[in-house]
Amino acid sequence: MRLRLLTVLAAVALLLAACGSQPVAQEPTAAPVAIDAPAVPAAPAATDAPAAPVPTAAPAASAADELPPLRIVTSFQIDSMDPVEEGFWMPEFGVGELMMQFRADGKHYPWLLESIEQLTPTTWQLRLREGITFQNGKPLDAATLAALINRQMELSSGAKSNFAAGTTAAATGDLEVTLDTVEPNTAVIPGLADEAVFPVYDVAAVEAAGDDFAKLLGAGIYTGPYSVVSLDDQEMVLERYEEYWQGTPALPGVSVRFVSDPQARILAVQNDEADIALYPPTAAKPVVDAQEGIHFNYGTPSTGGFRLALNIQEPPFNDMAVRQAIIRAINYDEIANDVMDGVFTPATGFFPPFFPFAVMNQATDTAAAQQLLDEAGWAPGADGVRAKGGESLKVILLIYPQQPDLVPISEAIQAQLAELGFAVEIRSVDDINAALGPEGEEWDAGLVSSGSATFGGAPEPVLRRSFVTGGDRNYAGFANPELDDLTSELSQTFDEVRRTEILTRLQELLIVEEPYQFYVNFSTGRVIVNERYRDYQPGFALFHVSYETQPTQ
Amino acid sequence: MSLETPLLQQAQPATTPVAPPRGLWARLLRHREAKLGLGLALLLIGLALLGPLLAPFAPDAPNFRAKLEAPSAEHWLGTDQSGRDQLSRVLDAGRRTLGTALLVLGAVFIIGLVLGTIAGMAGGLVDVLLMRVVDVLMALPSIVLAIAIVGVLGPGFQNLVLALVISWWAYYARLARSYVLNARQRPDVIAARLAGIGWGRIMVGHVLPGVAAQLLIVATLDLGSMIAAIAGLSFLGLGVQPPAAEWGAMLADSRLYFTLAPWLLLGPVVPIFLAVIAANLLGNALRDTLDPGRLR
Amino acid sequence: MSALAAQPDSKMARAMPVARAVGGRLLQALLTVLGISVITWALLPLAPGDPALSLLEARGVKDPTAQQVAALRDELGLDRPLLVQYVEWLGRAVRGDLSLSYKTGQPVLEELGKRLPATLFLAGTSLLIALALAVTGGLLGAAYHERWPDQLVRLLTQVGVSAPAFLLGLLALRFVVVELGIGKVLSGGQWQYVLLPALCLAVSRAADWAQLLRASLLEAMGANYTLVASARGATKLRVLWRYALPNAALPLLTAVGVGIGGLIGGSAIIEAIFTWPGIGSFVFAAISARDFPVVQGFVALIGLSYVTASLLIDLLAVALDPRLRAGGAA
Repeated sequence: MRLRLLTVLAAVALLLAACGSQPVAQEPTAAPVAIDAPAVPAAPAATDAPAAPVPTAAPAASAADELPPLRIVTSFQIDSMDPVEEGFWMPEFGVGELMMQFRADGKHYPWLLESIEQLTPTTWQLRLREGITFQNGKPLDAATLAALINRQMELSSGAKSNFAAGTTAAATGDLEVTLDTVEPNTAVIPGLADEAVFPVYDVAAVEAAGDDFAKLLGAGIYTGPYSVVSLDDQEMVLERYEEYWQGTPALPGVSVRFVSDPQARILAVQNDEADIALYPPTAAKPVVDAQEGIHFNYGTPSTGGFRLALNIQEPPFNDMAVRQAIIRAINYDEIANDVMDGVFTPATGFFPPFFPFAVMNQATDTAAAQQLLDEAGWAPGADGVRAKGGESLKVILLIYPQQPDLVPISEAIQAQLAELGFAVEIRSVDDINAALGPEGEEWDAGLVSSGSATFGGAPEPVLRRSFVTGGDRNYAGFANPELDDLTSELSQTFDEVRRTEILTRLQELLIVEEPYQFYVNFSTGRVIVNERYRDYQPGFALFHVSYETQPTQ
Repeated sequence: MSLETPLLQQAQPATTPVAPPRGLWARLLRHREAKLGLGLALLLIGLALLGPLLAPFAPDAPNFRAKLEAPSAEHWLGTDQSGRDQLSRVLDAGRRTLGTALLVLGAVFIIGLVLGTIAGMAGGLVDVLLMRVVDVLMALPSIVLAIAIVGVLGPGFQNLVLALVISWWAYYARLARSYVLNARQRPDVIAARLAGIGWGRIMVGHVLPGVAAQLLIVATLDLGSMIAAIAGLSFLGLGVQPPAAEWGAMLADSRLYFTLAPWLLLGPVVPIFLAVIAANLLGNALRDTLDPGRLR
Repeated sequence: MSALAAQPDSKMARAMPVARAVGGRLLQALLTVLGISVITWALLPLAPGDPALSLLEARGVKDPTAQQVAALRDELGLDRPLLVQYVEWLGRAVRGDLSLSYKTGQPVLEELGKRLPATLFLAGTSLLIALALAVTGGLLGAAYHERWPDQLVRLLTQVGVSAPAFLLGLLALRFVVVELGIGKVLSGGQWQYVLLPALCLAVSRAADWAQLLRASLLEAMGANYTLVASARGATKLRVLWRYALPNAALPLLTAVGVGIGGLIGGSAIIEAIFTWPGIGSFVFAAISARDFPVVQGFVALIGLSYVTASLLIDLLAVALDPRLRAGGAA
C-alpha cells in the first residue's frame, strides 16, 4: 500500500512537473514567437524567426561604445501587425511615420511631406521629400503614397471619420500627390497628422501578405527609424533601420513590453528591468520623487484633460445661474497643484494654452460664485446645503474606474463645492459613455477624460460630437443655434483670421455664457524613467520614440 | 470550500450526530484557543461597532495639504494619499468588511439551511435536482465564480454581495442536507415519528436546532475565508468602490506608496490578518468543543 | 483494515465495481461539465450592454448604426428564446468556438489557450510545494507530539492558515523581489521565477493539510494496529512511516481534492500580483475592458481544470483504497 502510494504520488508529481514546465521552460526570453503561431500553445516557434536583439542592460556586442537597446513598458497591447487596425501604434514607437506632424506649439509641420498646398477648396497638393525609403528598401514615391491614401480611405475607420467618402489621391508627379476631398475639409492637415488616419506603409508589401499579418514581421513596411522584428502578446521587439532618411538612429533596437498593471510597470523600472514606463498613475509622482535612481518626468502639453459635463436638463443644472456658479466655484489650482502634484495644469479655458487660438477666460472666483447663487435665490439650509423652491443643490457626480485619477479629483471637487453649499455624491460607473447616455444612469454631473481636439490637432470633430445639437457625445442635449452655425462655418473656413475669430467667439459661448462641458484640468504627458534616461521627456501627441531618442550620456 | 468527491466521502466514517449543545459556553471558555480567539474577535467587533464614535476624523474627509503624513499624535496611523486619517479609515473599513462578511455568511447560512433541509426532508426529485445544482456550483472555485459575476455585472457593493452569496451557498446546502439526513436516523427523531408527532414539530424541535448549530460552526470557520475573499476582491478593484474604506482596497492603494509611506501597509494588513486568525481560532475552538472525540 | 478480508476472489469480480465506480464518476464529471457550461453561458445574458454592439466595435466598426446592430443581433440569434441560445452556444463551444474577444476580435479560446499553460504550471508547482510542506509538517508534528517541533508546527500552521494568499504575495513581491533583489518583477512566465508566487499560493493550503495530516497521523498512532506494532518493537518512526502514513493518506487526499479548487481559484489573484502571464491576470484586464467572452472562457477553463483535477484525484483514491473498489460504501 505504501509503495503503491509513493509510486502513484511520484508519477503524478512527474506528470504535473512535465506538463507544467515543458512549454514555459523551452521559451528563452528573447525568442520571438509569431503572433499567429499554430494552435498548440506549447510549441515554441523559436527556430523560424530571425535572431532578435536581446533587450538587456548590457551593451550590445558590436562597437565598444554601442548603446544598449531601449526597454519600454506600456499598458496597452499591440494585437497584430495589421496596418489598418493596429497601424496607429507604429508612429508612437518610432516604427511608422505620418505626412504631417502636430507639435507642442500647437502648429503642424511637414514630416514625410516636403510641403502641402491647397489648390482649391477641395484639392490639395502634397509634395514628398526626396530620398525616403521604407525599411525594406523600396523608395516612398507618389504612387505608393497615393495607393496608401486610397487604401486607408477604403478600409480604415479612422480615415473615414476624418475625410469624406470619395476622397481620393492620385500621383501627379514623381513625388507629387493630388488629394481630392470632395467637399471642403478644414481638418485635412490635422488629418494627415493623425496617427489613426494615414500611417504610411508599403501597400504592395501588405497586399502581398494577404490576411496573414504575421508575414509582416520583419517585412519592413514602414519608414521609421525602427522596424518590427517580432510581436507577441508579451512584447514587441524593434531593430534599428540603418538607412533611415533623417540619419542613423541612436539605438540598436527597442523592446516594448505589454504590462497592464501600473504597479508592475513602476517596479520594473525600479528593479532595472525597464528604462521607461509609460502611462504611470499620477499618484505615483510623490513616491518616485522620493526615490533615488528613478524619475517622474512630466509636463509635455496634451490636448487631453478631464471634462466636467453637466446635466442641463435636470435641476439643479437647468438653472443657468448654477452652471455659471459651478464653473467659478471649482478651485482649479488646488486640483492641479495639490491633488495632482503639479502633473496636471489648471484649466484656464476651453482649450489648453499651447493652442495659438486659446482664450484664457476660465478662473476660480468663489466670491462671484456665491453671489450668483445668492442672487438666483439658492439659500443655504440648516445643513449648509443650498435650496430653492423645493430643489436642493444635490449633485450626483459620476466617475469611472478606468481613470483612477478621477477618484482624488472628484473628492477634491466634492470638498470644494461643499463650501459653497453643494452636496456632491460621487458614484462610480462601469461605462461612463453609456451612463451619461440616453438610457443611462441618473446623473447631474460626470467627469470624462476627453480631448479638446483630435490627436492631429483639429477642434471641429470635438465640437461636432459634444456641443452641436444631436452630437453623440452631447450627453444632455445642449442646443445652441449660434454654436451650430459657427461650428458649421468653422468646418468650411480656411482663412486663419476668420477661424480665430470663430474659435474666440465659441470659447466665449462655452465658458462665459453657457457652461455645459468644461475642463477642470489639462493633462500633461508623463513617464517614469531610470537614471540613464533621466532627461527623456514624454513625447508630444504620444510619439514616444524618435530616431534621436537615447540615454543621457 | 468546494467539491466533495462522493467516492472519498463514502470511505470516511460518518460524522457522529451532534445533539443540541448544552453547557457550550462553559466548555468553550475553558479552551485556551477559544479564549484567545474570542478575545480577539470581541476586540475587533468592538472596534468595528464603536469605530465611528472612536474615529477622530471622518474617514472620507480628504485634506490635500496633509498627504502621506507619517504617524503622529494627531494621526496615529498617519494619513493616506488624499490626506485622510488612516486610523479612522481602518475603523470604518472594519465595520464595512466585517459587516459585509456577516451579511454574506448570514444569507448563505439561511439559504443553505433552507434548501439543504428541503432537499434532505423531501427527498426524491427535489433532492436530486437541488443536489445537481449544488454539484455544478461547487465544481467552480468560489472565488472564480465571484470574480466572474462581479466582472460581468460591474464592481460595487451590491454586486459583490450578490456574487459572494451565489458562489458560497452551495456548500452549505450540501452540508445542511447531510446533517438533516443524519438527524433523520437519530433515535429520538425516529421515536418522535413513531409517537405520531408531525414532521413540522420534529423539524423545529429536534432536527433544525442541531443542523443549525453544526452549520453555524462551519459558518464561523468560514468567516476568515470570507473576510479574505472580500478583501481580495476589493484589492482587485472588484468590490467596494472608493472613496468607501475597505481593508483590501486600502491595501491596493498602499502598494504604490510603499517606499514613501510604509505605514499605510500596516493599517489594513494587521486587521485582515487578526480578523482571519480570530475567526479561525474561534471556529477551531467551537469545533473541538462540540466534537471532543477529535484529537487536538 | 478489516475491509481487506471482504474482497471477493476473482479478478473479474473485483474489476466490475471498479469499472462501475470509474464509469459512474466519469459520467458525473460530464454532467458537471454540462452544468458549468450553463453557468458560463449565463454570464453573457446577465452582462449589461448589447453584445452585438460590443462585437461590432471589436471588429473595428466605429459608431455602428442601429441597422448594423440589428443585423448582427439577428445573425447571433440574440432575440431568440434563452434555451435556444444556450443550445446554439453549447454547440459552438463544443467545437472550440467560444466567441470572439470584444477587445481584440480574436477567438477567445485561442487567446486563453496561449496563457493556460502558465496558469497550470503555477498551480501545479504550488500543489507540489504544498504537499511537500504539508507532509513534512504533518510528520514532524506527529513524530514529536507535544514537544517543541510539534508546538512550532502548530503555531506555523495556525498562522499559515490565516494568511490570505494575496497578502503574502504582496509582501513577498515587495520584500523579496524588490528589496532583496531575488527574482524579477516582470518574470514573463519563465519557470525560474515560479517559486515565489507558487509558494505564496501554497502556504495556506499547506498549513491546512499539515494540520489535517498531523491529526490523522495522531489518530492512526492511537489505533490498535499501531499499538500492536509498537509492542512488537517497531520504532516510532517506522510506525509512523509504515502504518500511520498510508492510513492518513486517504483523508489527506480528500482534503487535497477539496483544497485544489482554492488553489486554482487563488492562482488568479497571485497572477495579478506577480504579473504572471496566465489566464487569471488576463481575465482581470478583460474585466476592465468589459470583454465578457473572455470572462466566460476563463470560467469554462477553470471549471474544466478543476473537474479534471478532482476526477484524477478521485481515480487516484480508487487506485489506493481497496474499500472503494469493493463496491463503494465501507
